[in-house]
Amino acid sequence: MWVLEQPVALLLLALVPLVIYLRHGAPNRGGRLRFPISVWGGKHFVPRVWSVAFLYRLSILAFWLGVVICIVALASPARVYRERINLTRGMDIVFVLDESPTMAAMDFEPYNRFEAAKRIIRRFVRGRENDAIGIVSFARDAALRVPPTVDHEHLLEELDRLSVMELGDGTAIGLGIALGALHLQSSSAEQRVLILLTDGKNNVSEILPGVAAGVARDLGVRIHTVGIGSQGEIPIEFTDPQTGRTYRGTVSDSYEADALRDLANVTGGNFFEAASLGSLEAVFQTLDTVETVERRARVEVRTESLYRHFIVLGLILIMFDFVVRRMLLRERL
Amino acid sequence: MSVAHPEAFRLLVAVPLIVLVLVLNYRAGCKDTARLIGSLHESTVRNLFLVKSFFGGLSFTAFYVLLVVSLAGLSWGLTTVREDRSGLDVVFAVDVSLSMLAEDVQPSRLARSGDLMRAVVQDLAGARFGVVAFTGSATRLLPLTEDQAAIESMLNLVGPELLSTPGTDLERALSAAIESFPSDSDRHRAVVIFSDGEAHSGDESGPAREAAARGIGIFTVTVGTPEGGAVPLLDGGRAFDRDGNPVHSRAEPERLRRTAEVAGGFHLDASEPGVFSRLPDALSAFEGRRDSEGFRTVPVERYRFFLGWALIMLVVHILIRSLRWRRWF
Repeated sequence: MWVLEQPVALLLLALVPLVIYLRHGAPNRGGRLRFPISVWGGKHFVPRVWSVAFLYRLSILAFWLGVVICIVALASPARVYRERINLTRGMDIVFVLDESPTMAAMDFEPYNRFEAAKRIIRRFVRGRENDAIGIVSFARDAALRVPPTVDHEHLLEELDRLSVMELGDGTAIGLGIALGALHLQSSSAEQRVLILLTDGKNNVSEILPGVAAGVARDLGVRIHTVGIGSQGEIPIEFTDPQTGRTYRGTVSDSYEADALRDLANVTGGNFFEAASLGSLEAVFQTLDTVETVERRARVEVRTESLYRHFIVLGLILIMFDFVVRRMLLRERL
Repeated sequence: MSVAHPEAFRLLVAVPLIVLVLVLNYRAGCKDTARLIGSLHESTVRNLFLVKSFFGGLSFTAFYVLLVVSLAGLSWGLTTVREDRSGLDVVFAVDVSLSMLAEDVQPSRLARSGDLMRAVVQDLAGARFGVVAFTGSATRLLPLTEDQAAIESMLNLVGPELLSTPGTDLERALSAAIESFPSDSDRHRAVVIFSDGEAHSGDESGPAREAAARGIGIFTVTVGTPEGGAVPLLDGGRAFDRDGNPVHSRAEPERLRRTAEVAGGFHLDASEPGVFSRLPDALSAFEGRRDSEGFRTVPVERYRFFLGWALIMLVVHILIRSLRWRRWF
């Protein structure tokens, strides 16, 4: 939005016509010599070169336009931004996302499980402006992709880069939860939440899921678990990022509902099942309403003054007039 | 008194040109009047012409000069703006060009920067930190986070192998750092730049002024000595220039110092004694001072004063020419 911070200065515009009259219209005005140039009863003197007359008028126009613009600059033109400033600390949420090869199963038409999860997470993040959100992904190994941050732009960029099987073949649920909890350890948020999305059984025994969930509970972290995938033979297709080879086949492997339910119950969270894109969306809508914190914000007004652009433009116009009249048209005074 | 846009003063080189044009115009005008009037009234007309030309030219030149001064954005005096913020967000912008491997400060410029960042992270509990690495380009390594584990592992990772673009561009570094702050946060914001100051491209004064306007503090740390040191390569060898001489890198604190001044921060030298406590202290003072007062002081821009007088001079210029002063004098 544009505003003038000192609109009173615009009153000067009322004086402009007066000065224009004194300069161009007043009888007996100075700065010129009058002498007869036509014979009595003959034709008046008219400049023959039309371009000179045109240039003269143009320079007069530029000059007065420049003056008007300078007066507008005096009124402090500015652009106003309204920014909402959050006054409350949101919650911290870390997604623990399975990226084992089975996540490439195509039962979330038109996407595979992994792409569907990414899309739904993206939409979820958009609605959680004030919350710090991070991503841990796991397969055979677990890695922090994004620490809990309110910089959601960065988060979504990193989310886009994720693909299946970058961390090997396997499902280390325990490792994922432990890593997620570790990165929530130094958080100052009152509410700390892990959201685990997986489609398999834990098959890496470095840290057992139950132990990791105990650690999370001790840190005051709640775990929601989401089992992804439907029953039966599901076609699958994925590319191994290391070798570049594409694999096709079917999977019938599924998550252990009881184990996931236990993980959630131990820490005070909920267990959800999502067998289709629609149900996954519903799960995240539920999560969005379950996990809320009070939110207060105020609006801060920031102004960016634009007077320099006006002065520059005014200066150019007035100097154009100076060059045209004093140098090209050789006006003397 | 401070000048926001000193480059505007370059426009003053046109003043002699304007004066020259006015003088030439006056002399040509004298000839023309002599031709038109003849010698009868020559002296009175010429006197009048001289007086009008002189004051007209003077007022026009004054108009031009005043407008340029107004454009330069002079400010003096301070005014306060309300600022209800609490807590602190710090973004480290670390120069990871090869010259940062020089060992004129122990153990190396980059390692020293890492130690300083760790000292800050340790001392400022409750602050959020982000990391931007830059050379000729800049990239956000760590978004603002409270996650100590992530900060620690990122600081261990900062090194010249991160970015392959050659050079040092403080402008991009600063822009990337400023963009790291979410716009809806109610915390104080500070950027800490670590560099040897050997900037090759970019003009950082633009983003520095933007930071100042938004209340973001800029702290700069020069890492390196004026004597400098040889630049090692990643494989352990030494960098040589085209003539086969070893590349020698000297720290240049001047630009960094100026950048910090523009945005109301401090400049520090990583080699000075006590720097490990001074940097965290400076940052917590930055946070604390504003916290207790609830407002922030900003310089008052005075361009309207000069612009107003410029317009008056322009009107005087027009009146000198257009009024027949002889009717009154």
